[in-house]
Amino acid sequence: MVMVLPFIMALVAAALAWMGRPKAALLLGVATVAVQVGWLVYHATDTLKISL
Amino acid sequence: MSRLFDTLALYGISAVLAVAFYYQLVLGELPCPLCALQRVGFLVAGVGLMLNLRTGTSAANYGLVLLTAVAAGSASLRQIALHVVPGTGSYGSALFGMHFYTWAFVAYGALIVYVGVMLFAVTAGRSVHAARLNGFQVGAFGVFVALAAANVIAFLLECGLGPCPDDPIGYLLLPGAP
Repeated sequence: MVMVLPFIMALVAAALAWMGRPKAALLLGVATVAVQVGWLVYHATDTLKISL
Repeated sequence: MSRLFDTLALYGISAVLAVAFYYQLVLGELPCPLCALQRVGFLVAGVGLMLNLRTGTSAANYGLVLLTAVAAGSASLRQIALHVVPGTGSYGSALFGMHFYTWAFVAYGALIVYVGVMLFAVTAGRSVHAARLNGFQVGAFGVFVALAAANVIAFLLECGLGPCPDDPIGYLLLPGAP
């Protein structure tokens, strides 16, 4: 999965919000949270090699 | 009044993102994967606040802020847990005595409390409908969207089109850059 994906989705959602399209922005925002949670599950269950 | 608070909260989120960029670009501290998830949370929370300001305050918009605050707060809590045991080190610099993942956890806690208070105000009948954006609000939008775009570029350069390395030491698409 692409790590930059939720950033792109959040940027597009922000643009949609600015353009006054609440349903599309909300839908994309919720989808971004779903991707965020997917990444969180991945990084909360793998062994991170960070300063340990 | 809720529009003013939402505008200030949006500026506050942009300030958090800007400080993160300062540490990334000026001090050369690259964000780790969990750091990235915490940044995503601030971006999505900003979208919820933008929707409130642009199309009118609604519980759904605050719900979006709440969902991402819980997800991103969990990411910061995971990172705190990784380093809470003495001798396990830390990641990145400390700011005013706390690391950024700890500050993120505090910020998301504050955001959840903020949403709770604002939802109480909305359901108490003091909801605000869409109105024309003033210069202060357009400024908040502009700064936030610029930071969101900068995050896309920064993470694309750091991670490419795959997962970010657990312990990043450079930009994948910019070999040799600090």
